[in-house]
Amino acid sequence: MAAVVSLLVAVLALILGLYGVSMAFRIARKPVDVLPYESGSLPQQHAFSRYHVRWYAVTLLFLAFDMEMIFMYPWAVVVADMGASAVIEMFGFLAILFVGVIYVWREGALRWS
Amino acid sequence: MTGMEAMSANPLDLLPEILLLFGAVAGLLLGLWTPRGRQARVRTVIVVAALGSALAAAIDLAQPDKAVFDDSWMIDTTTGVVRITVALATATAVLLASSWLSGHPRETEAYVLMMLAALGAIALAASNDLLMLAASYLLASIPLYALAGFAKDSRGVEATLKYYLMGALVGVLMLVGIAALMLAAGTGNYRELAAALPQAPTPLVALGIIGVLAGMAFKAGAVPVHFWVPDVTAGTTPVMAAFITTIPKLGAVAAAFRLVAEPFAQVSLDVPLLVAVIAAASMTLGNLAAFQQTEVLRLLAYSTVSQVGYMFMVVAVAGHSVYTVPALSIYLAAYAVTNLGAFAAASALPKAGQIEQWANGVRWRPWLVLSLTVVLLGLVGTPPTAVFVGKLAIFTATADGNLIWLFVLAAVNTIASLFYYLRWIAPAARAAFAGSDRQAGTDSTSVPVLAAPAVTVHATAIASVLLGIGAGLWLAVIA
Repeated sequence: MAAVVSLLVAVLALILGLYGVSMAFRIARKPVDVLPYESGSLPQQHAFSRYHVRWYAVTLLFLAFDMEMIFMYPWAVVVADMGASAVIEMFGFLAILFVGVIYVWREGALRWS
Repeated sequence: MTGMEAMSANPLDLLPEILLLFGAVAGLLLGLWTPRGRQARVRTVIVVAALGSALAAAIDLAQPDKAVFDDSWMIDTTTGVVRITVALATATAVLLASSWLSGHPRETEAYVLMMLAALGAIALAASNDLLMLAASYLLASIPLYALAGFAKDSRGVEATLKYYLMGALVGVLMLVGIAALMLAAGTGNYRELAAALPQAPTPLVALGIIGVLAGMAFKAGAVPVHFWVPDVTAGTTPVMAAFITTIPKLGAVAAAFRLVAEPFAQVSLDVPLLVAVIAAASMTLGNLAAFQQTEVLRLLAYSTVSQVGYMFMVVAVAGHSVYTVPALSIYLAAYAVTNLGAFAAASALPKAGQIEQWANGVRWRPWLVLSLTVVLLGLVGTPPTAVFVGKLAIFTATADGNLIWLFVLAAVNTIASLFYYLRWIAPAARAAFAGSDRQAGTDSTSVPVLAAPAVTVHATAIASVLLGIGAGLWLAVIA
């Protein structure tokens, strides 16, 4: 019986203690509930910031280089063992990838003005 | 290990694929520095590359079967047939598409996407490894999403979105299936899978087989995942529909055939029955749905669904009959020729959406209607045409593989399919032969007939009959 009561008291003390700590250290008395959640702090800018449509094209261009890195990492590990054929294969792949970059450039996606 | 890889990694083994890729890259670069009015030169590069690829594949047929690049790429009769058929069909589809794309601001991009999708279809057929199959699925799908919505009109955008969402869903199912099979067997290689799967846990294998076959059924447009076919076909332009309903199917059916014949052949589950049910449902549902269609493109869309049913018959008996490889070889080629012809007929009058409008448009063109009749009766499987020989071979293989109920169902479906093709032939023939005594200009609703697709209809009608008569020669070449 005593063990159960002491366990209850301990749990109650823990819960009240957590509430007390939360009360002592909280930033605002009323929690912000209608603003975007940023882990308790007030948002510094609008949630739906608009950005220019050209960033979509830049994102796709980034994917090309991203893919290049994904393939080049395992390649870099084995290229010394594989020899010249691996180098030729990788540069063939890079050439095809570079055609995509040329396409983006010719289509004017990199024009900033 | 490195010595073995170096032996089987000869780039010349992939010459047909390299030529297609080279055509796409060279065409893109050339198109970037070509004015809009003179993009025909890009078309020339693309068509020459596709024809070169077909030639290289034909020369390669004489070589013995071999698995190259660490056993991930199989070059055998099936691959050879798909290589030749896809390359020639792509060249035809590019020329057909030029009737709509000529002068389009994105003409080059369309041709390049068509080449890349063709490359994906060949990769599907040649994959000898599950991871290769997943990569091929993406290569064969993503260019087609863009092509489906190339007109940027509302129906095209709806078609693209439907196609893309369905493709993404089935792609995920297929990846789950591939993961299950690799988990069960510890490998993705078909030859090693064939040895490991019979001992693997049955639920995992069942999940894997269903997932992988779902992916192939989606690319082929077979029944459980056929919902995109009518909407995409009717939503996009007729020339793009011709490409989308022909080229990826060739690769997907060949890939399903390879899967059922090799890695799934020895498993304890009844895979042939599953494929037979898919085949039976595809041909029956495609035929039943086609009966009520009044739009030319929707009629053809459901016709392609039923055609996939016949093709899956040979997948169902893969490995159980000696006649399967010749049957698949002849039917794939026959289907490509005939289906391109039927869609070329729709492309000849792109403004005529309904069958009645189409019939009114061909009032003074009996030759066009004659070629259309040859092509559509070819799709049914009327004797001198290529699909007749293909169907004969498929029915023989099915009977030889002891799937008698499927054989009977396919025969009933073939007869039933005659009626909806006649629903298109009959008004056109009436207009072309009986309506020729009317005065020109009295019909204000008539629509212009484009020359290039009309020529394609005639050419495919002739090719269909020639391939039907010379089927023995074609089989002798590929064997």
